[in-house]
Amino acid sequence: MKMIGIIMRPEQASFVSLLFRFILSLVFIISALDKIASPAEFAIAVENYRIIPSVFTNTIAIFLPWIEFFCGLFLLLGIWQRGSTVIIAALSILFISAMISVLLRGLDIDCGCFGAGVKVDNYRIAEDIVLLLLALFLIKFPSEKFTLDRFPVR
Amino acid sequence: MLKRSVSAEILLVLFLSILTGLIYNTFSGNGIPIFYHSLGSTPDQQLTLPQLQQAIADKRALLIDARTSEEYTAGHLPDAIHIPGFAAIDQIMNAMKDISKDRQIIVYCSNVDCPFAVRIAEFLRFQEFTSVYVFSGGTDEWIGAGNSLIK
Repeated sequence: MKMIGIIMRPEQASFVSLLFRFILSLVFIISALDKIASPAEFAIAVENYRIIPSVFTNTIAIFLPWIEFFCGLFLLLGIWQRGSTVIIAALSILFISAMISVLLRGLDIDCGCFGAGVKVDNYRIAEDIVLLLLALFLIKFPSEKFTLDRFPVR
Repeated sequence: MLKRSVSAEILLVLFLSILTGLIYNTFSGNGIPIFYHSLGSTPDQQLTLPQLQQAIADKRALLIDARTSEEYTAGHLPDAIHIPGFAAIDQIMNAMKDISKDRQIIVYCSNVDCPFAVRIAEFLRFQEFTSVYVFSGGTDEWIGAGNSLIK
């Protein structure tokens, strides 16, 4: 907590961690539920990126939302927090790169972020960069309040 | 020590997600094939050129061109509307909002190697359009048989 101690007191930092944890987990849970409800639509959203070979787009559409869901859920509950946050950070980097590549190729597609009708644009990329920053903060300063982390893998 | 526990956590979360995904996809009722086959239409959902010409002559079917905007503008099948294969979902829904669910729909692309016609067709079937066909030969077969495209 030394670095953060320069700008805020430890109890403030732990409040910030808790806040970030709730924001990040809720974003991931909510966005996952929509994709879980309609896998076929999400598969098309994945296909539209034209990055993954068609044969694997369904595979991604089946599993990716559940990875998001469980990471969000475990982060919310405070179980396996570091592992979940690392996955969330990795996914955010993946989403940011995919969307940048879409914009560079001039495709005009749904981002598949929160159901239909949300286009890939700079704003979406900025949003994911914010999520990535929250995740990186939480990797460095995990929230220790209100966790069930006595459920350990140690 | 910590590092090992973090990687164990990552593996556990991934394992749990994959397991749940498999179970949910199998039993939820809206599951999809784990591996997508780009020739997903069964043979009776594919039209041959004579069947397509018959359908065009009958003027009851709705033709959908799944190619890119440039290709569509350069020339398409008679009365075909345009829904590019990489269209956003709301764009597809918007184009189809006044079309009755039991109307015969024929989707085509440039040739059998183009995956977009099958993709659009599958999406429309998923949206409960009951009579969706793919003309898999596409514009290449249409032109090859001596027909011309309409601007």
